[in-house]
Amino acid sequence: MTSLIWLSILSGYRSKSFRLFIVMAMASVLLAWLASSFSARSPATLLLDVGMSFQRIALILMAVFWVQELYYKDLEKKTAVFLLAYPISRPVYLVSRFIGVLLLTSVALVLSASLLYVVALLSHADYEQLFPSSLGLSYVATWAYFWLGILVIVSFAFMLSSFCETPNLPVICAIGFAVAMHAMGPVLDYLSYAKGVAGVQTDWILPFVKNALYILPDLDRLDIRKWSLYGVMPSTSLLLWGIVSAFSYIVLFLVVSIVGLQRRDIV
Amino acid sequence: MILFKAHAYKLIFITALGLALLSSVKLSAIARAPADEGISYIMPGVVNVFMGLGDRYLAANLLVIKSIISIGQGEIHFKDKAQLHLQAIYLNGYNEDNYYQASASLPWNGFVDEGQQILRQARKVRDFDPWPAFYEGFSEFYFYKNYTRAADLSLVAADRSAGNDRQLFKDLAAKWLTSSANYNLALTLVTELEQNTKSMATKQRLNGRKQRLKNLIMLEELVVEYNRLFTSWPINLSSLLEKGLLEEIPIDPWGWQYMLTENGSKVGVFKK
Repeated sequence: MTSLIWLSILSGYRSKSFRLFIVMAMASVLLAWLASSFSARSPATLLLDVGMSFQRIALILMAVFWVQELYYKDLEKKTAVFLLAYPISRPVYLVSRFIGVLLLTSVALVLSASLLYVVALLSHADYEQLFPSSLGLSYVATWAYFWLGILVIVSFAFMLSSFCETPNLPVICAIGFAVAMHAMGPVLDYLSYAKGVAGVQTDWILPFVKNALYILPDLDRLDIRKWSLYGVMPSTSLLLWGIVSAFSYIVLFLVVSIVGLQRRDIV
Repeated sequence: MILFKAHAYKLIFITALGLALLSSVKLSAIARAPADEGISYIMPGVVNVFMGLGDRYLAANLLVIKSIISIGQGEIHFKDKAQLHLQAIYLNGYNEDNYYQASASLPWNGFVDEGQQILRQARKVRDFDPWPAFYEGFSEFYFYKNYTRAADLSLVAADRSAGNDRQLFKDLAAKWLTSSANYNLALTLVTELEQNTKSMATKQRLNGRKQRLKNLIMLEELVVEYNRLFTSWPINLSSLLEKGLLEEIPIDPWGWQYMLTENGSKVGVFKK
């Protein structure tokens, strides 16, 4: 299994995706730096805020592409058959691929977080904000929770890839899933509190979103950046249940992926 | 059928062309609604969440930046601006630039209610920040003339501050309460401020304020007494002298003038 994981990492690294990721990470930080110049009171906070948003989008895109490269294309091009010809079971193959993507994503995330950290340290040092953002434990925790959210999306992409036979469909659906699952929380909050601003939208969306969140992962809950940006620490229960929820969905999607892979006619 | 004959087409074509030209001439004579600059059509908040790819922070930042970079003067422009800031405040109430930009532009261009809604929400969410409460209080004072509410909000700002800022907000609350003619409450606040300051200059200034408030309270008590004795309100402060209720009109520490207001039932202080 270790050699399979190593093989996955090498395949991910050899594909041009890592270079693409570096370009996206640099572009994200540049955009964040430009956006921060619009802030009248908190440029360093805005830099971190926008930087986190763009970096996370880049990471999600990369993670989903790695699932496509390392898993879906393996099935589509039947190269998985050669791997499975060795005495390894399909679940071991899938889990090793998942761990491969997980490690690639982790490396990419550490690079993103470090790049943003350095730029945030160096920028706007001449302006002392009234409410400075923090780059300590809260910053690390924010990225750790981003990582959890990305893993939920990765496991969902694995699940789709196990069943789908249409090229690019897992990528498109996983990106759509990521956007929708992040959006559910803000939409619910917006419709619940923005009375008068939301207007007529409330009537039909609100009950739908409320009910949907009982069965779908609320990835917005894994976005705890207000701790780092504004010093507002999320409650312990939110932090704990966020982890439980993320791991539950990861396991759930992976189990369904394994079932799908075992039933799939690869040959 | 006549419609299918060749000459009929010509007739219909010429009639339609004539009517089209006639209607264009008639329509051009009708005045259009006055144009106003709008930023663009503002998408509903839910759509903007998806425009931020589901990220509430990114969606809020995009809305605020859109408002900052938009330039215009008309009513629609500020209506759009208000909508952008309102959407942003409910997506990320912590965004500092949002309430700051909103308070700097909206109330001054006729959108006081919207500005206050944004500041109210920012005050609730950013419970560590004195400035939303202060800006909200200022608008209550300046635009709504609701002095008591303004003073309350300045005290909220004071509670969230330390050092000189805390003193400043309390000081301001006392000033605004003076404007509300709630002189007893203002005197309590000013006395507290005066006792807690280490600066002699501030102490001296606050003592002057205390003296002014004491004078106002004393004069108002005499006005009530006048009404009790003569079942009417005095015409001016000299009436109190004439009836022997007052020996002399007190001198204001800053040389302002005490005058009767609200048909003689209240006393205010005005610059000479």
